[in-house]
Amino acid sequence: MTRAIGPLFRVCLLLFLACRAQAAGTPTVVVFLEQDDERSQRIGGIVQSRLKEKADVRWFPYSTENMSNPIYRGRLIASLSHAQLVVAIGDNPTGLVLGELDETPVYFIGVSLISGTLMQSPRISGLMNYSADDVFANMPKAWSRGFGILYTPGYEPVVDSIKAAARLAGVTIHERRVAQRGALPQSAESLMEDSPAIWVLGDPLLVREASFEFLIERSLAERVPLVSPSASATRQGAVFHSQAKAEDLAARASKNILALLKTGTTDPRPRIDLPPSGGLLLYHQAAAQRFGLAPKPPTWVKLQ
Amino acid sequence: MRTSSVWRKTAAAALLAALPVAASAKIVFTGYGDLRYNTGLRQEVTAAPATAAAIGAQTGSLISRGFSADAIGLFAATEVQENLQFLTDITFRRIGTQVNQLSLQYAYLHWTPLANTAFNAGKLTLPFGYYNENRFYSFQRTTIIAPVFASGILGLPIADWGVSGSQQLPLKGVTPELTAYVVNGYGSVPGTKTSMRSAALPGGLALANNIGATDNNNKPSVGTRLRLKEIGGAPVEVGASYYYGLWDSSALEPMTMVGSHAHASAYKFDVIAEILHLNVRGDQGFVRSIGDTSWSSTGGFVVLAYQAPPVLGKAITPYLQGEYFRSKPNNGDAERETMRTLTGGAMVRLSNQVQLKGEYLHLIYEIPDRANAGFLRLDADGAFLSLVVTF
Repeated sequence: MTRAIGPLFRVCLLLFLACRAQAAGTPTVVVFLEQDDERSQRIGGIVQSRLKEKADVRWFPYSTENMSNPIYRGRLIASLSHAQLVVAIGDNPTGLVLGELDETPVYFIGVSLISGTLMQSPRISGLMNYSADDVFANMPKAWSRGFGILYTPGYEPVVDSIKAAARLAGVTIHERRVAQRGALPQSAESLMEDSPAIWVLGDPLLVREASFEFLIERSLAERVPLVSPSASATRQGAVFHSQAKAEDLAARASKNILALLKTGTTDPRPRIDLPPSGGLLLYHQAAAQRFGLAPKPPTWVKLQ
Repeated sequence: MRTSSVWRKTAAAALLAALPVAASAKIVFTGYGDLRYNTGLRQEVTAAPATAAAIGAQTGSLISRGFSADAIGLFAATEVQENLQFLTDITFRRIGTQVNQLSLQYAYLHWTPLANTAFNAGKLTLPFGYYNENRFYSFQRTTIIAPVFASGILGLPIADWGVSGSQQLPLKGVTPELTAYVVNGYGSVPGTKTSMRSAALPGGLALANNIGATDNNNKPSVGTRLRLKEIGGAPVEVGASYYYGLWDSSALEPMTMVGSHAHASAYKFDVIAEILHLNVRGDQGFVRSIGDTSWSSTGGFVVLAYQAPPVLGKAITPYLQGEYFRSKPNNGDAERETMRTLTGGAMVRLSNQVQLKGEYLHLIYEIPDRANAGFLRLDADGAFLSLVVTF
């Protein structure tokens, strides 16, 4: 018995050290998502199931009530900053992590509204909520010549993805980059002169409060319909917005995240990706009627 | 000899395995400020002359009014390694040209080796009841003034140096959680060895001052709490708490606290109810007031809040809070210390980070003075405004 302890001890020691090496090599991925949003929960569940063998996945919920508690918020940010990668699902969780985390790589999923400035860092990558393939496949054919894109600094990767989809769909693009709020009127009006319709990408500088009210007002005056990035903007009077299918978002995101974990860099191609086709275009009925657009079910669905 | 060598190597391997994986730690600072305006607090002190002289109280009527910063607190959190956080709160109070009170409310390591298991070590907020951990800070609650006996006498937050462990067991329809802790415990009034409470000393009626930087005797105090959370999958919780410690410097006299609590949040109502029974033996300080070295306090409070429909897009929460506590000598004599408060008000959430509150307080406090065959009574009425900002 005593003679067996020596070799047995050596085996145990090797096993201990192997486990430590494994533990040290297994990346910690934190999934951060809206607590009560069923769509985010579905996306998070698929992502977790695809990552579980490659990473130690932890979940943290986001809720407005919790975020107003400084004790909870401090502890949450401390935990998130310790992860090797934070996967943020939805606008609010993404906005929080991009604003608070200075060094931790972040991969966001299903985002519609986000500041372009926050997306500029190379440690930020992600998958937007809207599909250029769906927009180009289902929009009126008359919009294909000179379709307008209005965006802000930081959205260049998104615009590149949109232009790549446009080439495949035979759509020509006119674009205007709005560097600051003061430049919005001139950029919007010059784009409206050239374009049959304009897709406003979701920087709060363009889609919040007075800015979007201005765009809606000009859209009506110039008879140039707007494609919005989100439901809230569509409700204000844009014609429709694109929403990708949750399962497609999760599948594409999981693939990108696994590539990120494998290469150890925060620079997959493309860094800011768009989901594939297969989602919906949620339209504002009154706005669609105003511009004489005929909804095309089943892809076009009336926004409730 | 060969066997002992193997055991030493085994111990070394176990230690190797237990060493943490190196990780960088970011310190996150957040905080809050509670700015108050006393619109006019009327305090009427009635006392027998001998009692007033013994306690050092001024009888008559007093009105106070003015602005103050009730507290400005800084929280720091850092994840030292996975599942191990260090958390601390430093609070500044009585801020004039200088900060007259600087408190380390808590400072502890929080370790969660498993999803439902947690350990704390350091100066920890005692897991006693519900209010102490969940409603102490002004941004956590709707009211401006916390229940007066709990905050003014018992001393919220009750926080002490020690260790605690808790285990949850999520089941279908309920999550039981058991917590146990060992801490230094309440001691005697600072500067004395055998007084737990003393009306003759400034601040001596408050137990909050009795928790010191070190244990005043050689006996740690222990406690436990059992609670049932998420009853029926809803934010409903009930629990019972127990604390036991020897408080005097000779470690001969016990203090026990037994409490129960209930919290429910449903149909836009939020209600908290707590009952506390405190029993102390051998108190040479409070005997002057209550007439016996052994005394007990019993009482409780209820806070009821309602989430009213928003006005101008702002959430409004009116509330009511009632409190009653009574202390009596254990020898059956008739002396009674009583605390009765009633507060009512409303909180408006101006934004996610800013709360505006308005509240009216009615308080009656009576304490006997057995030594001088006298009494003291405090009647107070007043209205307060509070602006709570979190950052």
